[in-house]
Amino acid sequence: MYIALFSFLLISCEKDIDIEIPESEAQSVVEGSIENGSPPVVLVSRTRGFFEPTSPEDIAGSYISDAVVTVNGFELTTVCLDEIPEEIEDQVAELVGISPSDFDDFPICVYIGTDFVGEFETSYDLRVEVGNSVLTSVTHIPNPVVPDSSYFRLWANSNRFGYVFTEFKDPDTLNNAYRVFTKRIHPTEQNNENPNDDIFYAPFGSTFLDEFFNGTQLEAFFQRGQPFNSTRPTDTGEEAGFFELGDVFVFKFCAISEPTYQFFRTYEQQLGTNGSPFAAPNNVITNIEGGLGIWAGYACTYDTLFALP
Amino acid sequence: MLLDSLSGETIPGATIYIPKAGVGVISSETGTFEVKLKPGSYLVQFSFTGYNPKEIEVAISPNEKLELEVTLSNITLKAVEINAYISNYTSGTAMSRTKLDMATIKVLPAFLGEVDLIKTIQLLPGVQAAGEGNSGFYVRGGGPDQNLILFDDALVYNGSHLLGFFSVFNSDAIEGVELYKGGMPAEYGERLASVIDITQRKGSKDRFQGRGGLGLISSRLTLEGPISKGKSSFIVSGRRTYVDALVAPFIPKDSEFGGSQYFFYDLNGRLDWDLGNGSSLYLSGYFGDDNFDFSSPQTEFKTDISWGNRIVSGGYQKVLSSDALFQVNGSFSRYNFGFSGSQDEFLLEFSSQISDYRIKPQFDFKIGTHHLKTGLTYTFHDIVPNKSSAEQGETIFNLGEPQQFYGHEAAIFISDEFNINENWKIEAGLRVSAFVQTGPFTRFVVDEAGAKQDTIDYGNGEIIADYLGWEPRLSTSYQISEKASVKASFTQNYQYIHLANLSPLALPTDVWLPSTDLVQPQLGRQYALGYFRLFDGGAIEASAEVYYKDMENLIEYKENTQPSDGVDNNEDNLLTFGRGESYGIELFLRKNTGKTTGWIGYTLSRTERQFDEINGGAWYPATFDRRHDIALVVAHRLSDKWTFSSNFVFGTGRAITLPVSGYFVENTLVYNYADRNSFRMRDYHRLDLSATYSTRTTKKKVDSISGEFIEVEKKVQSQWVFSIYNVYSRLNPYFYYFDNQGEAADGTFQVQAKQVSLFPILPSVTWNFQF
Repeated sequence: MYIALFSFLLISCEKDIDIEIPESEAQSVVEGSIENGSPPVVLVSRTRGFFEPTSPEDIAGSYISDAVVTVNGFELTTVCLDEIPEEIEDQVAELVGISPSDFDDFPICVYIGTDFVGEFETSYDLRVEVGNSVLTSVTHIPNPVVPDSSYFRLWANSNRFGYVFTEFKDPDTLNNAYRVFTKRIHPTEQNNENPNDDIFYAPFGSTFLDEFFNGTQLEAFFQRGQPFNSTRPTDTGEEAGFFELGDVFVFKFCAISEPTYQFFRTYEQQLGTNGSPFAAPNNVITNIEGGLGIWAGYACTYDTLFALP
Repeated sequence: MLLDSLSGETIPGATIYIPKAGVGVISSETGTFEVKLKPGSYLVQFSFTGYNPKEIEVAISPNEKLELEVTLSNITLKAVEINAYISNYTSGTAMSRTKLDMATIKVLPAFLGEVDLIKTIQLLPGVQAAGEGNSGFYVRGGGPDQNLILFDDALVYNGSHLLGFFSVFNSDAIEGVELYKGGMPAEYGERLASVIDITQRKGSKDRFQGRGGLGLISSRLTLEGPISKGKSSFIVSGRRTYVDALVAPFIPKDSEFGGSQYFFYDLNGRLDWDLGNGSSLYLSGYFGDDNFDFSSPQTEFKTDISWGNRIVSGGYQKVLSSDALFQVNGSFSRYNFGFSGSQDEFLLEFSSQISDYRIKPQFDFKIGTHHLKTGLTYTFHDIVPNKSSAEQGETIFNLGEPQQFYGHEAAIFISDEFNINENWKIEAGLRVSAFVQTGPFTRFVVDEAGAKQDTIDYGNGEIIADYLGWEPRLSTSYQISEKASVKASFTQNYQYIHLANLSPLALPTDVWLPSTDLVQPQLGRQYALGYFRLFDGGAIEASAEVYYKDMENLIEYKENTQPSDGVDNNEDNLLTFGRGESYGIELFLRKNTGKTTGWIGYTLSRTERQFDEINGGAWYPATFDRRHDIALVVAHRLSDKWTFSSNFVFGTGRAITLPVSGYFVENTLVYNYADRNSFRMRDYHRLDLSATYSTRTTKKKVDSISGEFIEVEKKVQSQWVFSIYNVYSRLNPYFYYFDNQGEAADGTFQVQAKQVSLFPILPSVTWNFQF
């Protein structure tokens, strides 16, 4: 909203600078999730200095492959991305949120459960042993909220681009939280030339709470999910954030636990305010005892949609 | 007593100086003054802006009390004028105070040619700006809400336009400004850090006249004149920017900013009546708004943002005798901020507002050598910090009822200025303040996580919280010699109105809140000690002051608070409370007379904050903590036509919070921030230059009687002001950020620290006129 500065920013300038940032003690980071019908997946890493080398190998070096990870007492299996059989690459990619095409160049190891899958209205205890430290957390998969309908609608000023809309009834209990994802696919031969998404992406503003619409019937709309800072042409041109007529996509609508909401709310807040002089710098709220990151629970439903006029 | 030669009105604030004795005083509100001298002959000099200076020889015999009635005659005020200014610099108890008249301010370089008294105040030691793009200023470690800005005795809640780039005070409508950054007299209170007392100009009671200016981004016009000649007058002044019109041709209609515009305007007015028998009446007003409209043809996203002040102030003054004055002021002040955003069927509206109704009667009188002031102040506060509504098509979101706070603030005060002996003066005062929060009000009781647990409803007029504050004041000066003195002061203040800001910068979106059952009044104590010295017969003033200030019950939003958290909630539920301290030394050297005038000020200071729920409870530097601060201001009158001026400022870089490490979630970098304000931006420094060319003020004319050429005053006088802002185009940092591109897994990720600077070198030209 501070675009009022625009007139002055016309004559402002920006330049690269070198900032000396002192080394800080590395902290352990957990990025884990469990969804209804899917096994738990956990990535364990350490924080990185701000100006450490940024090649995929260097970044991969900050991930930890010898942790002992258990969920509800079941130890998760260590799976290294560059050793995954091709036939299950897509499934693993969905679970860990990394495109299969990056597996070989990003040789990290992740922890995947093989003993059970997530169920509604169930809590899951996470325990991660890294060296001499132990990280713990608990998450919950709530009951799902199934949208009454979801559909594509052209944006008022456009005859090509639009957003996904969904109508749902929020339960009459306060603090129901949600997160949505989209994934563009090509199941038919009648669509356009837009590329597929390998995995689901959360659009900006994906995470919300029923604080102001508790118990009501709501119609909400969302942009197309795309990688943050994406350099793909489809994510940077005039269609950035839009679905286009002819697209076919999957809309993933999830009910989430309150700690999951707090993490992704502050995560998106941080992404959205980076570089803004008007925002107070805040750390993301974690639910990991002894470290950083998130142990998230999702109750999701999926809907495949066609972008039709 | 000093009197105006035409109107016979008393002249308060004039300077009386006795060079031989090295003594100077300022005439009181009743136009009177009093000086104690040893027997002998003296030359007494009288001067005041807008009047011809006068000198009188007096002789005083032992045990004689000499009474003078001196009249000063009006002169036509030249647009650029630097008057002799010799004050009771060493002899009075006043310390930590600076008085500036518009003649001094107008000659200094101005940003884009807009003369700005708030910017000039920021050139004084102990007063700090955080650079461009910040509407606040900071006095001796106090926050931007701790400055009491008075405009004709009415409160001003937002003193700036466009994020602090311009002040709301139109230079053509202002008489002068006085800054109190410590040693606050008991008649002032309500804020911890400073008082900025701004007086609007009275219109001429003799003839209709006008003045104005055409600048690069704005124009202004002031008209004034008598309503009833010699008895009453009016002045009305307006200003509007046209940056929207200037920028429009460079923005394609179909671009992202194609439907956007920004402008601000001010409208000032004042009426004055001389009621005779020493009585006078005034009514003044200020109306000003900033308006920003943004609409993007590409996304149909529309935003309307506006904020502004509405101020009406009226006063009555009665000179009861040469030693007694009664004055009363009543005022209304409102600041509001409004936001409206829409996209397709989604509409969001937000507003906040503070309204004050205020009355302040005051009685000044003398008993022997005691100069007493007593009076009271009462203010009714009506505050709506957050009023929101949102709808999406037919769905209306339940954002709850707007929260409204009512508060009654009152204070009684008495002060006495007297001499212990010839060298030792004291000004002692006591202010007793009180605040009551009343209903109707709904308190949402929340747990530590912010979840509502209970609701308490208070009825109309029901007392919710009440506070009482004792505010002793003491200032003293000891004259070491005719030209040097030592002064000390102690001030204790309570502040019942607070500003909560989510951003490290002060912004128009910041929310005003009263003290409540949760929010305790802020308490500040300041101790100051100074050495004051005159050089060159009083032409040069020098001072060194040290101060220490501690503050309690300061407020901040809790970490990770979002603006929407205040919706359907009590705004004060989002706050956390802490303390602060500030200490420093200020050196000041000022030359007031001669062709070359100006000052240099240096401040060495430290300002810190501590909140249990911020930064792990550890002390941290305030965002405006500035170790070194230097300002050099020089004006030189080369001739009647040309005046040159410059100012140079240097300040230690602003304290900021940066991430020290990061980690990846969903292939995206998450920042892990370090301790609050543990980094510094690069130092800020800048040089500005200005040249003022005044056209001839007279022309030759043949006298119809004598037939000879005579000089007569031109009907229209004008001047050109050429300014260069940031002469050596220093790219001072406005903010830092980390630009990260790409994704962790695909080899495209990279991160780079960036600095954004606002203004390189900016030349400007302004044409001013007067008729």
